[in-house]
Amino acid sequence: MSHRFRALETLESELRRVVEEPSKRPHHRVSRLPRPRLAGWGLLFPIAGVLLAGGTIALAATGVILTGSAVPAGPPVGPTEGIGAPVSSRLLPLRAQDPEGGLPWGMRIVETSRGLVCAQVGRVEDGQLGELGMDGAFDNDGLFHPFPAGVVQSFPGGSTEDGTEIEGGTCTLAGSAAWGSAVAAELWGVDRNAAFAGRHFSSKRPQGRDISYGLLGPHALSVGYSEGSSQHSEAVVPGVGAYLIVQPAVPDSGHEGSGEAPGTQIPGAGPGAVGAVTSITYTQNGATCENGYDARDGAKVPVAHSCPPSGAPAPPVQATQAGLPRVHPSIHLEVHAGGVTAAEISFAAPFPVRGAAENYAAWSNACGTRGEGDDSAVFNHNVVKGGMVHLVLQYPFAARCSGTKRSVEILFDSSAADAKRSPGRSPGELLLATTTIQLPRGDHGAGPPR
Amino acid sequence: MADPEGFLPFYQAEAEAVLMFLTRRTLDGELALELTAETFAQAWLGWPRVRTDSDEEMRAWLFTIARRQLGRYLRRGHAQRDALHRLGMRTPVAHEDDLAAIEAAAGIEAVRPELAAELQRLTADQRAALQLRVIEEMPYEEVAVRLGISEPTARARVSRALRAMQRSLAVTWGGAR
Repeated sequence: MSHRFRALETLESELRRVVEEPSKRPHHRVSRLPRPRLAGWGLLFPIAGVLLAGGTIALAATGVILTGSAVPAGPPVGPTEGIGAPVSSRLLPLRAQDPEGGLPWGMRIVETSRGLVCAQVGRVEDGQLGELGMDGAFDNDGLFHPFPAGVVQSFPGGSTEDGTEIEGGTCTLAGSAAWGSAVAAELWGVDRNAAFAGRHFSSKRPQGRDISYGLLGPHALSVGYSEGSSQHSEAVVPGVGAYLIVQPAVPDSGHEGSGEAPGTQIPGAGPGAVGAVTSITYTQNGATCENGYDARDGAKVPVAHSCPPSGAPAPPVQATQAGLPRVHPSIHLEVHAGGVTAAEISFAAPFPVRGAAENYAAWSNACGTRGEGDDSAVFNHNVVKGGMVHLVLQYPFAARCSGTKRSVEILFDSSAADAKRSPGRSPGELLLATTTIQLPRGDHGAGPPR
Repeated sequence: MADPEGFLPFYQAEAEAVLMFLTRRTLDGELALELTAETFAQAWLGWPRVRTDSDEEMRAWLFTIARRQLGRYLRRGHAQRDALHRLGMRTPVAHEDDLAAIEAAAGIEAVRPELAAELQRLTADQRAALQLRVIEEMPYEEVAVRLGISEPTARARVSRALRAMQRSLAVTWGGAR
């Protein structure tokens, strides 16, 4: 067959070479691994025994696996900045068997001091969530490594579409429940040890796991999912709508990473085309309904009692015109060898910042046609009303088109349920002031070091 | 499970649709071609996983892979080539006239103003994060330093902006392929 574009012909030739070469063929047999209860752990005991002799570990309550040091925590984060500090942690009564047996998988919810709710998955031992020292993780020490009490470190190399990434999980704004948001994610190609965080492994990767998990909210009742050629249904944890599905990844599928489970973020919506979940059952006004597979074009698999469209209007975001507090910023320039390297803009906060859903920002608009000079700074800390806010714009005159004056907008940005907005602005964006940064006579705009 | 012999006909039937889908969302024919190549390489590796003979479901599965490649590109700023490398495949090189034909077929000139408009609808901080991460291809660490925020916040901001953009573009294209 000929294609309209020569590049597609070339690609077809490459694919033909691969498809017709037996060694390049992917495995064509998808089967579960053998599941003797402790088969995967045989090699762990000699290692653990040696370590036990060193007196560095303690016997876990089950006596099946030994507990090692906690998973290393990231740099400490203050309770009033960034993601915030953990304030509560709850291991959910949700367990999923690993295809090879051994410790089950579980999920916990961690709430932070800045209003984020984090869902985190891992292996469960003695009421704790953690990771296993195998498959190259933790030097194959064969121990169970519990997560620290809080979840604050970021998840390098991973990705989620909505919210902050954390060790083996994802966070979303707790307040976003008012916006109808839930959190759901996919981790595919995860090692069977559940050691995430982009660590480097010393041994060859074993067969991975595909993990689907999420919090679907209080109206969710159950999820349907496919496993091989069969369909299953599993009740979610009441109240939070939590689900967790662990399946062996297809050998050599090349899939590894994480991402959202599209379609599951909005209560009442069906699952996306990614992941194991094929349907979600909800209760709406006392009745039960179901939403099915939401394919790329929005088509849905027929279900017995399809949920009606939610029709829920977007939350009202009031446009504020009169009575908007104005701020009067002071500007301090940082100058090194005649070059302006930063502009600090300070003012008294007209609104408090109470959590991750709110912040102050300074925005200098682009001066060039390709976005040159476009810059912003964000104040990502809690602050009381009247407290001082400091925003630092780096290299404000670095762009050639900057001239000697930069106009800067001061904004209050909020995703909170009671957010307001200025006319013509995005929801939650309040314009508080427009100020000007002046390049002092005799100085020049410095750029970032190369 | 899908028949291995069915893969090339599947490619022949869907390749252009995937290329158009990706060109319209990246506004860049060359990049879209790279993503298309990786998409089909991933599809071949995952071919045993296909559990249906339904054309529509197979198409949905393929476009899920394509979306993943797109999402990864948007998050990381470069196209992933894991499957291509694994299979020892070369990324096809397109000549300028071929690229022009691809972009013309995708009609991307028409959508550029809409893209610019969508950028303007983002919040200032999202726009700034997106600019640094996707346009200037900075690592998240550097985006965080430039914006004076933590790395997780930079990630969150970029991902929210991308999702808003993708939603808008999806509406713009309305299911066109």
